[in-house]
Amino acid sequence: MSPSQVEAVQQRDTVLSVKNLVTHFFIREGEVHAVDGVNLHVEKGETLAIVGESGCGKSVTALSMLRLIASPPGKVLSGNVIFQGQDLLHMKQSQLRKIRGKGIALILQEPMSSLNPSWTIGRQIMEAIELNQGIKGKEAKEKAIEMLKLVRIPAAESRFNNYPHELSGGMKQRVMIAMALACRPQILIADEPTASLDVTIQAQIMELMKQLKREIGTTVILITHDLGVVAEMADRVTIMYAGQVVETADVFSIFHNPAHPYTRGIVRTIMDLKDKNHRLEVIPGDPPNLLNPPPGCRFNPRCAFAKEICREKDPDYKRVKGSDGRWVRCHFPLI
Amino acid sequence: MSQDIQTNAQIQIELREPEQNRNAFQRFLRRFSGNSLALIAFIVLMVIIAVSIFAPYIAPYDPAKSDIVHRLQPPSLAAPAKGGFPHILGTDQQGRDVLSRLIYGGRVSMSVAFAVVAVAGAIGTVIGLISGYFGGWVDLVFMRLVDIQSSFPGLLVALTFVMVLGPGQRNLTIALLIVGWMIHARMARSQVLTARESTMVESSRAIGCSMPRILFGHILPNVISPLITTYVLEMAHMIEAEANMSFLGYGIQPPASSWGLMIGEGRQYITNAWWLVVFPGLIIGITVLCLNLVGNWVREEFDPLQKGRH
Repeated sequence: MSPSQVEAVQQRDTVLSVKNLVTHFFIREGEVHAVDGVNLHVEKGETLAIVGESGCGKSVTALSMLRLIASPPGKVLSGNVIFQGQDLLHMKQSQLRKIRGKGIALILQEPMSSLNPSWTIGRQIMEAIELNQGIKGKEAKEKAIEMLKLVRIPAAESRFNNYPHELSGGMKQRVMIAMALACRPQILIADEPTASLDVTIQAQIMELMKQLKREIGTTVILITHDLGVVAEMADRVTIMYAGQVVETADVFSIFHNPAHPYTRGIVRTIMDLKDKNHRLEVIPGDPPNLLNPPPGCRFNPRCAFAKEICREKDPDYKRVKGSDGRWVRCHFPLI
Repeated sequence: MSQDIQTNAQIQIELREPEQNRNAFQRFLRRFSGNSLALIAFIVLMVIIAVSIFAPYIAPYDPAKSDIVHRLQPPSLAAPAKGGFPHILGTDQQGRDVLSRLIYGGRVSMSVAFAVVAVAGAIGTVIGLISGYFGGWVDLVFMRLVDIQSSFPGLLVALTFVMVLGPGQRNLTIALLIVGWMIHARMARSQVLTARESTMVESSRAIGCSMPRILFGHILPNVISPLITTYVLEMAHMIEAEANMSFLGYGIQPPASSWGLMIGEGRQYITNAWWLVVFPGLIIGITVLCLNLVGNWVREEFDPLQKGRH
């Protein structure tokens, strides 16, 4: 393919691209570099997993894309978020409101506190339908019950009139998913949808999301720190560390042929049940304090392969030579 | 299989609903369980309000009709010599029936307090919601306004306004409004400050809700219970304020009557006609006490953290 053809293919397939996103938080102690130059793109119909440990900026990235960062203290300093040819970061609030929900819907981490306790769940799903599909009244109610059935809530007609406190955590997360899907989004961002649920419910919710994806075919951005979930659900994976994207690759390469030392580190923390003598590896040290990130590569203090240049110069995020869409931020990639 | 579940659920709903309707009053009474004092206060309050509303049908005499011959009659259950209903609570310095004046006076006192709380509550709540939600300079301007105003004693401000505008029920209401909106603004603001940070607000923004929809549809219903408590307690406060103003002669003007005005007018006869002061004083005390008891009950009832604390 000629370069122009490659570009044409990319343009057709990419539904959302984030370029150089920088979000900092200004607190009394100083400036927190929560997201510092994040690049990622999402292709139509795929599931992209954003993986990283707590506090690495996954959620802040998602919230920044929709400009939902509480300001103050947060501020999106620079970057572009291109969706449908428009930059979400430089658009009027009224236009952005039409993108939220209908274009990109968000499922938040906390199903327990994301629902309005003084409204019935049915009314809340109806609100999402009325705002995003332009249907009102009885028709919207029927649609809402349909959504409750879609997320496998038993006895949907009577659950419609329940208040959030009458539901369990798993049920609430199903309602949140129903609400997000009721917006008919082109992209669904699920920010650790199972974080506060117990393991069996986690499995159910993940299974549900997989089924729904098959049925509806939405593009999904899944934010998680659970590598098991990633292996099962993702097509491509973006690894984040200390506010930066360190590697992006297809899910197979991430697990079998990681390019970044950090990716290799986290993949090696997975238990191997077949090998009884296998000891779990840990990455030495702690993630850096984002108030004062280390000079050079942010991973260098914990990296076994770090050399002089790693301590001085922050590597660029670049395409791995000879690979098919693999990107890495490292001076000495492992492949 | 799934159809079976649905029909079962429908049957359950059908069974439950009429039962819920039938027990509406009982369920209301049950909310008072363990707090019989509040229930009594609530009933007393309802009686006072009902009597005020239906004053013309209940009051035995015209409250403004004087009868100099029978002035300063002590309370008595015996029918007066001229005939008619006994002056149960006596007559005042112009021979007017104290009971009838109390009944009509309640009308004035209650309607002033109610109007003030309704309007000041609405204005104050909206201002508080907006300044709490937006923060920044909007918040700064409104809250400094509140601070400046609350550095003056409320009664003094109200008195000044009435002196300028002239006394009377309408101007008294306006004056108390000007004094009364701040507490609601402060209360609403403090509630919004915590509510706006909740993930619930974030998720409603994420589905594309507009600002007024979030503020009045999502935040307000969740912060309304402490605000209702404030409304009830402010009712009590406003009844007192109205009485104070009328007592000082800057509120309700004769021949109309209010509880505060009755005390003010009866003050000079206190040594030989105690009933002129004691009964209006008593009814003000009872009303304020009942409003406070009900206000406390509302707070405990709607705030689970307060339950069981006294």
